[in-house]
Amino acid sequence: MQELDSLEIDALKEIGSIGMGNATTALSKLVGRPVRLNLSDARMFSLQSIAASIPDTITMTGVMINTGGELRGAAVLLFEFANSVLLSDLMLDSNEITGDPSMNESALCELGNVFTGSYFSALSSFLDLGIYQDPPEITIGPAQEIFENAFSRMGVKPAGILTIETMFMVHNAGDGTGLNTIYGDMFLLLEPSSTQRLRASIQKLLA
Amino acid sequence: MKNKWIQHLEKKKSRNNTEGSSFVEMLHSLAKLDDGSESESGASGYSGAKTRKYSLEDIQQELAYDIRTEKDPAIEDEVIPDNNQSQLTEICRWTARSQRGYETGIDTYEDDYVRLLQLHNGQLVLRYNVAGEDTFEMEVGSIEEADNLIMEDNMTTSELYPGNPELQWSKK
Repeated sequence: MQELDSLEIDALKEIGSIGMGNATTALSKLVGRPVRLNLSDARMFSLQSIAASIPDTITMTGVMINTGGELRGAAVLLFEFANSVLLSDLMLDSNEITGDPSMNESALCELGNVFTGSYFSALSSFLDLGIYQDPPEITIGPAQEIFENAFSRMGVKPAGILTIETMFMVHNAGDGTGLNTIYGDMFLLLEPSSTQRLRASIQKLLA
Repeated sequence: MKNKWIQHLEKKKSRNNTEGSSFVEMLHSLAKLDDGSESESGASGYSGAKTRKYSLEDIQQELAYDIRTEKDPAIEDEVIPDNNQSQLTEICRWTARSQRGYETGIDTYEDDYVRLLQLHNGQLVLRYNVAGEDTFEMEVGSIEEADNLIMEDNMTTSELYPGNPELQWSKK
């Protein structure tokens, strides 16, 4: 696949920021906490790079949503496990739940739906692309396994996959005595044909 | 520079072997029965019929996550290199009434503030000092980008607290 030039990388990062700006506003309303965007990056996906940056001794939670239409790929929301539990607690408006832990999983799924729905809605309007999303699936484990699972669900190999990554933080999440900031990372993984489609949309915008 | 999230993850210690194969199973395996005893782990041990209880504290302990590392000075130094303090140039500063103070109803919190700093190598950073949060910073490419980020912060704040403009950043 043709390498991305710096203008395209900047444009893709901007597109990621537009989507995430919408998504984090939705998340902020959902959990009633300030949410801040941090770094954004666009590059060709590398499992080795993920494995190198997140040790496999850390249990992660991945919320995966496959996308179809004119942008085929997947969105993966990645959290450290305890962070994801805290986030689901915010959704359930409690930090000590009695009962069924599947409520937490459902809350995370709903969060994934709202978050990626807002993300894709912004992208769809901005780029004039038809995008739909599948129901979310949650997996846990080392980050590398989560991505391997995502590629398996997409039915593609990681080679040639474009990722637009944006980190975000949910502030004032706890009661101030322990874990208080939730760190999350959103990855938009795009199949090569959709990357070309996205590039064409960018060129159209720039023309 | 590693991003904040990677720095955060690197603070974590190794997990133990309490995990299950799914989110629900793992959360279940970390839960305790109401009598305080640990529940059985794994899919076969899960039954929604019994009442279980968990807390984040328990989970963090089970995952061998020591929240004290949040205050590890070595890590703090990595995030905000103190030895660069003398080589920082403050370009401008924004302040806002402490959101934490507002949420808790405590008036003694000092105002939150964010500074646009130029490091010795010329890099611009926004450094946030927010009550109840670790100090954190964000690299920016220009003063205009910093202004835009502050504006985005204010938009989020105005949606969360429409009647409280004092919680929005204002330039000093």
